[in-house]
Amino acid sequence: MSAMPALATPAQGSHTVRSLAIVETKRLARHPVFLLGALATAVLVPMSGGVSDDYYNATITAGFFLGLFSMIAMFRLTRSMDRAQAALDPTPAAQRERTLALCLAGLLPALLSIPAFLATYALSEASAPWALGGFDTGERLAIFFGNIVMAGIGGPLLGVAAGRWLRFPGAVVALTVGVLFWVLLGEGLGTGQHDATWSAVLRMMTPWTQFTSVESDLNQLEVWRGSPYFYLGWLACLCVLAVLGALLKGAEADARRTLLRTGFAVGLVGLDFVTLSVVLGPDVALLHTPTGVAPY
Amino acid sequence: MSAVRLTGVGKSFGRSPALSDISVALGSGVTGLLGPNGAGKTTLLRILATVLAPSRGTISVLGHDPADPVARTAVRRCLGYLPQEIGFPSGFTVFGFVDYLAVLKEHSASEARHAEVRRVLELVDLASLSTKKIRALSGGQRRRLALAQALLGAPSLLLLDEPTTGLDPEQRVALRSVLAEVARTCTVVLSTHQTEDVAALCERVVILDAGRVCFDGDVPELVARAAGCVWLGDAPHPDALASWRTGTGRYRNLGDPAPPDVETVAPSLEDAYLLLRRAQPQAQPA
Repeated sequence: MSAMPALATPAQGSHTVRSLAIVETKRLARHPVFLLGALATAVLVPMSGGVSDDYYNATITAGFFLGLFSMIAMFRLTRSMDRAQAALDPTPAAQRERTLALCLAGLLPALLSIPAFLATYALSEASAPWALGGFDTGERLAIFFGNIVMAGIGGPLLGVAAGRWLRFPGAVVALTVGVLFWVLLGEGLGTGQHDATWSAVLRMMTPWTQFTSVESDLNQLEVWRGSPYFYLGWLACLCVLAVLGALLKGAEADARRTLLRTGFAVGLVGLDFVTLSVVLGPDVALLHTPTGVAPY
Repeated sequence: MSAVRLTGVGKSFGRSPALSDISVALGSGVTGLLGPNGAGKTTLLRILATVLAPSRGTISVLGHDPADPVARTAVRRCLGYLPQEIGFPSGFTVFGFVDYLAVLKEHSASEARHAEVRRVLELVDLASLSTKKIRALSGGQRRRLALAQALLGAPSLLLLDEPTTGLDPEQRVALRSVLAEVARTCTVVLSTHQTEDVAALCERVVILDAGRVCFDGDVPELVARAAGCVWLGDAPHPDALASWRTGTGRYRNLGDPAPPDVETVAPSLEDAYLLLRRAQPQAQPA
């Protein structure tokens, strides 16, 4: 140990979150689970058309590998500093700033999801536009954006929120299984109870859903209930709720009240979006066949 | 003006009291916090580090009341804290970990921050290991790494909870010289079991026992209390409060007072501490 060299003066102020977000983004970029998800997306999206050329399937690939894998990576990053909590607690950057920085680091998968979204949409339109039934261009873009970009935004945010709250062993497994169950429940309802309003409501409340389903017989295409535009609104509300939920952990009493009030308001807006997506989407599920469109 | 002032501070965890009626004022220089396990040293340091709120009493740290969130942040900007136990996140290098803490301590400009990280790593003699993964470090190196983060910036108040644990004698001496240098410009509170660290570094010592202050004063004053109470003999003395065989083969005896037929020797701080401890009634925690 040596004598004291000159000191560097800390730059106090609002730059801490930005600096920390850069550090967290670099950590995420090196995280093996995130890298695996990004690599799998890059490799598998162009292959997702398969024999049917139905690139709509690629939304599952991108949503799964970018959204779910980023969620797992962000969960682990969030929890990774727990061991050093004793050193972190007395620093001027409160947990709120650390949480915000982690949320900002989630922009990395969100940015990566944009080329995946553009590529998937372009491939789908070029090869099998029929796979999205009668949805117009705007609705198609909304579907792809929701299934890929919003998954890339929401997955990491959910990972941060869960990392702040779930502290038991195997929490990340429980989280992953829970999210998959939530999504698959919606898909099951879309298939099994396609006309029921309650089923459509529950499906529109999932964090990821398809709007059409191509049967193995390529002459049949199911179009499920729900408006892609308003579903995007619900997804945006879920993202905001994830951030608010993450910030709630460890918040001071005043901040906690504000967060809870804001969360309640956002939740109500989200439910409005769900209602609108059911009301303003198709009334019944439709079946597209070579002879035309009919109720499913 | 005192950097730290505690008045009637108490802390309980559920129904278990950890600190009771602590009133001390600490100024610049190094203050040693001595006491047996469970005496409340770590609890007191955590209160000073603003991570624990006291159950009773008032605190002023660097002129601020940490109960107020804004004042607490102001305190934390001027604080260096080495916890008793610190875990390290997996995957970090030595430099990366200290850099992360530097960001949390609001060193936002990357060039200046990196310079600061290199400075503290140099101080604790870890500069040559800056690219090494933390998991590859020895226990002593990890302890020095933990110390490095506490030294970031120019803390006005440095709280060190057993900083020399796991350090070899050379490193301990090196650490003392660093702390002596740091203490010229700030208040250092050093919690330790090592009386030789206190003797070497501290002008003042506060001894805690069962959550209460049982001595608060200068180190020489404490040592002077043991004058005439330490003697050497060829066997443990039956009247001694404590007795142990030294490297010379003779027995060092502590008693208050020493028997008249023995030749007393100069007491050490450890002797004085042990005598004070033995003289205390074996109180339950506060």
